Amino acid sequence: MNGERTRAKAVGAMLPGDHLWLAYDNTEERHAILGTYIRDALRDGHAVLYVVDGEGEAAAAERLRAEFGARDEEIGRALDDGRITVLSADGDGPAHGGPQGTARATVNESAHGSTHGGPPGAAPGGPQETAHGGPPGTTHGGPQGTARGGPSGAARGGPSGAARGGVVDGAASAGAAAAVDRVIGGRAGGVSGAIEALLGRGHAGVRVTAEASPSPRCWPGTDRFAAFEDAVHRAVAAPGSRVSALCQYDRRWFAAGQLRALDERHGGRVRADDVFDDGVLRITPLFAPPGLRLSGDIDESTLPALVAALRGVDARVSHLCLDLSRLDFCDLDGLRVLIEAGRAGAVPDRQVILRSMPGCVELMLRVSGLEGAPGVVREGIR
Amino acid sequence: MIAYSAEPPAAPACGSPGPPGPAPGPDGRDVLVHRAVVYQSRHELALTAVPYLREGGRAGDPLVVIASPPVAGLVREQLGPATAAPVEFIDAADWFGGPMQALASYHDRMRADWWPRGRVRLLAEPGWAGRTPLETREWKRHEAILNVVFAGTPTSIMCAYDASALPGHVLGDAARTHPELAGPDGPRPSPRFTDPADFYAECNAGPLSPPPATASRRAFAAGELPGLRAFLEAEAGRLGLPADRTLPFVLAANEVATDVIREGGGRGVLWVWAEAGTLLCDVGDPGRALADRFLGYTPPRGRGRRSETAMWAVRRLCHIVEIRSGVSGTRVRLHVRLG
Repeated sequence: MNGERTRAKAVGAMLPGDHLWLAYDNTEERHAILGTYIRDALRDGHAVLYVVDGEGEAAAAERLRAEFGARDEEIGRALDDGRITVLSADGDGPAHGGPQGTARATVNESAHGSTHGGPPGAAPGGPQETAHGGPPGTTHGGPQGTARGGPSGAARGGPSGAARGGVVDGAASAGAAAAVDRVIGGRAGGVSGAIEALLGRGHAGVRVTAEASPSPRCWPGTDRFAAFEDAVHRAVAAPGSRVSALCQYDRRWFAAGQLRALDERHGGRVRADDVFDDGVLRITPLFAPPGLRLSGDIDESTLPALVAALRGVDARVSHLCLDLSRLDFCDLDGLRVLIEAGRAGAVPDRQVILRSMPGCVELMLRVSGLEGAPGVVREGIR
Repeated sequence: MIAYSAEPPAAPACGSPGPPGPAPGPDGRDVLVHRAVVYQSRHELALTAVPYLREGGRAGDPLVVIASPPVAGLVREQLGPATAAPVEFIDAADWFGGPMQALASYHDRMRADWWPRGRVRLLAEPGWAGRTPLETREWKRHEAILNVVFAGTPTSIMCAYDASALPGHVLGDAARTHPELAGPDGPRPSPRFTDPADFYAECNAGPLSPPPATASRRAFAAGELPGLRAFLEAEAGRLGLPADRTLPFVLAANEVATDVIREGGGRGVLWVWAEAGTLLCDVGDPGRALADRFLGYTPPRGRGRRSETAMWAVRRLCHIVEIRSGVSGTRVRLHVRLG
């Protein structure tokens, strides 16, 4: 996993021409990365094309407003004025029946037995239902733990509201086609058609993102999956491209072989932006379990950044994982801050997990007499 | 029984494992007993040390002998198998590698192993042969410090001095650093016992020699420690410190420099050089006079003063640390053995 993260590109460093994918472990990670992706697009005057399926476009737009708009008003405004446009494999009609039924049936036969096109074992509410609070088996609730149902759950509720923008209408003209073809589209339809329409409206560029629901692109390894990703790739990789794409996949749905297939179809993975990086210390957020990875040196010069980053970690998490595997140096004040990180949270007796403690920290712990501080768990051999 | 009861900078007895051991002193408090036994022959040493250990054995107290193998063998034989069986024998060569190393070992073992079992009774014979003048002075200081850092703890230490082998100044200062002198006829107060703070100040009386002209010099201030560490690492390597021992050195020097930035004048100068098999590093802080009264000789508990905590770690990371301070500022000299 460390290796994957090393190769992964920080979402804030994404450029036009990038077709990357996000393997997220939980809702918090997806929100952090996607939020940055969308905010950066709006900052740069780019439009966002948000591809969903199994959910009407209006319903999806409302869900996104709840997911992102509450914390960022600009995202809410962008959903209103068309800078964020939703494209659904289901169009704007009822999610069940109609022409889409054909495509769905194909998906189900080809990949798995789930009646809703969801992954085997996924809760009916969709990926986000199962995402809360970290990996399976952990008990603590993440910050978004009670926020809302998953996209599929929100989407299956029948007819949705008005179409959102001309782009969607353009996509809907492919109405008779199967759901997958609807999103893949031809020259004039689907993702590429929507991109052209958005660029035609004067946006400096387009950032595409597609959710992990398998219906529009099928299960990794199938022909339709390849066709979908190839369509996205063509849209992104053209010379002089002003388009980038970020495909979202819930890591827990996929086996190693499928993750490899996803790697092969994308230019690389995306990770959350670093919280801090001054060339001496790099602080990278972790999501499952929640925490920070500290790379480089903690000293007098970087301690304030560490303190700020620890303050920025959600105060409600009951376990805080500090991954020290890439820490090269840590002074005494830094060690104290790491150890006392447990006291900063709102959860009484928050546990601090010091993961993969390097020799320099071991030595300082021993000679400083700070060994055995309460609330600190040392975990793992590097 | 006479106990020196100077209050240490922070009462060390209230450490981790709670109130240690039974056997309080005669006045109801735990008292440190610290005696020197100056002997002419091993036979005479046995006449003093063996009854001392037997007495502790009868009380069921933990017994520890830190001595060279011949002395340990003699004590074991004289005690007899039954009394000797529970005695922990530690080789003096392992224990007395350096004065701070020995002090830290005392602190660790007292808390972890000895005090929980009762009033610890130690017989210790540090080796003085082959010590440099600096090391000899620091070992004398070590004896004075024991009176302070273990004051008020259930501890008896009997330190053995071989009058036939040791120089006069070592024997003379033994009488000044031990509140009691022990002999075959029992203990008696040492008339020349000196207040440990005074003895400590005496050890600091001489100024540090200036760094040689060939020493590498580097100034530092806030934000510049990453570069300072790279400099220290390179210098340590150049001067022959093995790579696997660079980290403790860099940690120590960085910590002193951090203290200059945080608690001292904010900026300082550092010199690195090697002489006589030792890597030396001076950290100069022109902006602060630092009160060195047993600074860094007691393990930190809780949120102590930053300098206290840091200096405890720094002393443990080095062989010897010297501090001199006055109106012209403070200088901390780190000694790390190259061999």
